[in-house]
Amino acid sequence: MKYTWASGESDPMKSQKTHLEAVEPEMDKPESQDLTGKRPHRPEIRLGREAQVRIGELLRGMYNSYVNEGVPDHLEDLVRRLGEQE
Amino acid sequence: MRTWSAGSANKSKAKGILRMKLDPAIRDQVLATVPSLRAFAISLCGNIDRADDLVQETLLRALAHIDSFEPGTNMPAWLFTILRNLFRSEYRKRRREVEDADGRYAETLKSHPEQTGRVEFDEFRTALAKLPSDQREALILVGASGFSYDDAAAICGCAVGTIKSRVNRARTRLADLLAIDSVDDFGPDRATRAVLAGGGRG
Repeated sequence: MKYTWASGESDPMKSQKTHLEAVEPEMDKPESQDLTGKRPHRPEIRLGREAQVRIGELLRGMYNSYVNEGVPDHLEDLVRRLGEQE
Repeated sequence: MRTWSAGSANKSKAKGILRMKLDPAIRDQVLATVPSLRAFAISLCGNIDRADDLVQETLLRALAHIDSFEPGTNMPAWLFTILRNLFRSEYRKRRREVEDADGRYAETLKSHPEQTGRVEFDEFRTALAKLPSDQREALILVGASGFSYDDAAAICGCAVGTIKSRVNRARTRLADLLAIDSVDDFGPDRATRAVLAGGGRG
């Protein structure tokens, strides 16, 4: 799949807002296909708002704990040194 | 963990890349993305040392092909795509380990000093480890990394509907594993959800 990133897109790293709450499960399409190539019907499951919010909180809490712990020196040095070469 | 001083194949690759002169603006974009990129790597593979290797390999690959990045476009998405593809390559090699049949994913994360004593987050990480990797990556990209469904689909090389489906299944499975009972009044009961959520990969 070839794609390009539009220059007008906002930086997703600038915000911790996520798109989880925007999911509309009833719009989801089953991915798998049976032997005839037809997509089998699979009942959709709708989580309540509270469950969606709670899962989002736990997910972001975990992720942000990794973001906030910082970056090992050798990784940061790798990138920093690139701008310092003559 | 691989480092610059280690005698790996990365050492010669790194020397070559370090001779490059990188546009400071590009360098700053890369630097700004590294913390989130690393968080994505840890969330995906569940092993901090391996995640750091993955980030280093991603940076080396990105910097070696920096000419293919168009300034002004989405640097985080570009780096996440490289990391995700590297992880998938490794995943195919180490499938059994990454699927965490022996609970290694959860154990390595439990040992992380920042999370000691945080039972709820440990339970969440254990549940997250039980998801198929494609559902896990979709959920993390959309729910934590802040990407749109379109961006996540591009990063994963699939349709937007596929990402939505994976996110929905991931959430449903997590709700079941964590016993979060807040299904809509007319939705299936918990036992039915467990069957449905575990019934197909996607």
